[in-house]
Amino acid sequence: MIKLVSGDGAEFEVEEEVAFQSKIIKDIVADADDVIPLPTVSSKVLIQVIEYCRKHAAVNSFPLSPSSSAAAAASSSSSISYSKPVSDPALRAWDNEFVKLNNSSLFDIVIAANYLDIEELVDLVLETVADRIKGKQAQEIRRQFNIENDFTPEEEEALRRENSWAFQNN
Amino acid sequence: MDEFASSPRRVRRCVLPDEEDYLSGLSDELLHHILSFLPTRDSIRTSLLARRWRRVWTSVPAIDFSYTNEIINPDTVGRFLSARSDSHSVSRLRLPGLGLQRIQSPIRNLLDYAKSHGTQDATLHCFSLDPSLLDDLLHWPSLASLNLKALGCQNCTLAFNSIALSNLRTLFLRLGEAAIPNETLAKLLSGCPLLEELKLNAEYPQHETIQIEAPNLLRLTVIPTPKKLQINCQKLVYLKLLPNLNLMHLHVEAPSLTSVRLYQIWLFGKFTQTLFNVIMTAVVVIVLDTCRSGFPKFLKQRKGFPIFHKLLQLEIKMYVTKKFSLDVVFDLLQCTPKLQSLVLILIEYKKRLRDEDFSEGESSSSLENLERIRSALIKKLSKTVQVAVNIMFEGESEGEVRCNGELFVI
Repeated sequence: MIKLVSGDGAEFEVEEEVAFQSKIIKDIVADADDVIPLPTVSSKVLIQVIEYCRKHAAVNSFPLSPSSSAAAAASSSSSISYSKPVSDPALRAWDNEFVKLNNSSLFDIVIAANYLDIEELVDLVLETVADRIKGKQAQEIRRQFNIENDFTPEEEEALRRENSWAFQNN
Repeated sequence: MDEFASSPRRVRRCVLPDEEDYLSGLSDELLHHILSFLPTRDSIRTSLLARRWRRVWTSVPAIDFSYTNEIINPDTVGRFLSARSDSHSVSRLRLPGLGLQRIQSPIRNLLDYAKSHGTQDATLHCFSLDPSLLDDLLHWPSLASLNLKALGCQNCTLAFNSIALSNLRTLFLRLGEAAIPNETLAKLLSGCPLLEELKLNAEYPQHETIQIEAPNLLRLTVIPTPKKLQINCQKLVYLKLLPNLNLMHLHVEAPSLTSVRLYQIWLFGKFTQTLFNVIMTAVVVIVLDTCRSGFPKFLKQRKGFPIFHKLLQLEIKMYVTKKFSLDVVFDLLQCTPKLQSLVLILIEYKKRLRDEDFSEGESSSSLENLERIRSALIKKLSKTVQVAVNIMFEGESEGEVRCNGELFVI
């Protein structure tokens, strides 16, 4: 077991394969009983990150056996995946549920995941943020993410003209 | 330990007047990462958000001209490329809707730019293939993944000059009616020695035997197969085939094969034997269309002769109407003496339902079916087979199940 200590002093004991979803922890752990302080990660965020790592560690570590694949196919009703853990439909569905969070929670998670170097989690969260930007006009995006417009109307118009094709027909 | 604790890695927190703007506070690297998931049009639109965002899009490591086919003209492409920050790489290029592109020069400009900026992943969907453009595409040593679709190709025979795809791992080719002769395919395969996954959808010259020989190939999909096909891939683990209607020859040499996905299995005729002799553990997906007579006939010829004699796992996908028979499933199970697990997915044909038409009755009939199948299977199966049954409706994505499947062990 590896002990992770959040910025607010909470301690979490996790199995090695869960902690090793973070490349940086994998790199620095010398002993199986290491205590790893994570001063920039709050306990609230760490709980979510550990939840993610636990799920992904479990799915990645079970190679398909006949019985587990039958169960997986039954629960997802979809075809069985081979050698590509990301394409596991049940895991993808779980990921989609996991990121149903408000923007500020997502950003907390991505900062922690980036710090801990958990590549798949960074991808997952940032793609979710991208989906919230996709197809929207600047004004909507600003409202959604509390972005303050510090352009003058003239500057904005000039930018629009510079790349006019990107602003045509929605 | 301390070193780790104090290392901020790639995150930089900007101090902003409005603390709630977390997004703008992310590092440039993370913002580029976010924008790399978006079509370039959406990425450029973020330049209007605030000063912080004005130039962020110019360094995004992806170019994606989705939905913007009409703007790929020399002027916009020229302006776009000169606005981009030249020192940043482009790992992904997507040109998914080139349609009836008459002017090739802006596409060539985009390709040249991508090539000189280290692109690893390229997707091009175009109507027809200019041979010189094709030569350009196939001379791209940095590329790891290429997805090329050109469905408007009329009857023509492809020939490549030289191929340099020394880092290519994944190749998806959909070439409409263009024919790939064996020699051209061999040249292509020898030009990408590291290839791990190949999906091929094309025509082939009438009387040629097509050989697929790739030492590092792990996954192969050929839809449809040529009339005569020979596969020799020592590392292949996954094979998906839709046979040619007039399959005349099939030989598979793939000792590492563990999983096979077969469509219209009866079209394989006598060649199933060559396929199944090599597989130890396989998952076979058979799309049955019970309306056709080919399948029962195929099985009749093979009664009592275990075509899947080493098979441990079997998945059957069956397209059914409301009243259907499970006889084909039972017949198939007689050919699989070692089976340990069976997944049965039934896909119901039905007219698209409008919301108001969808009544309780619809789903309960499926539940009845599930019950019927369950009791029928219990009667017929041996004690060691694990079974999962799912009923889905045609037209729904595979992930959605309206009537939950049931897993039971007999």
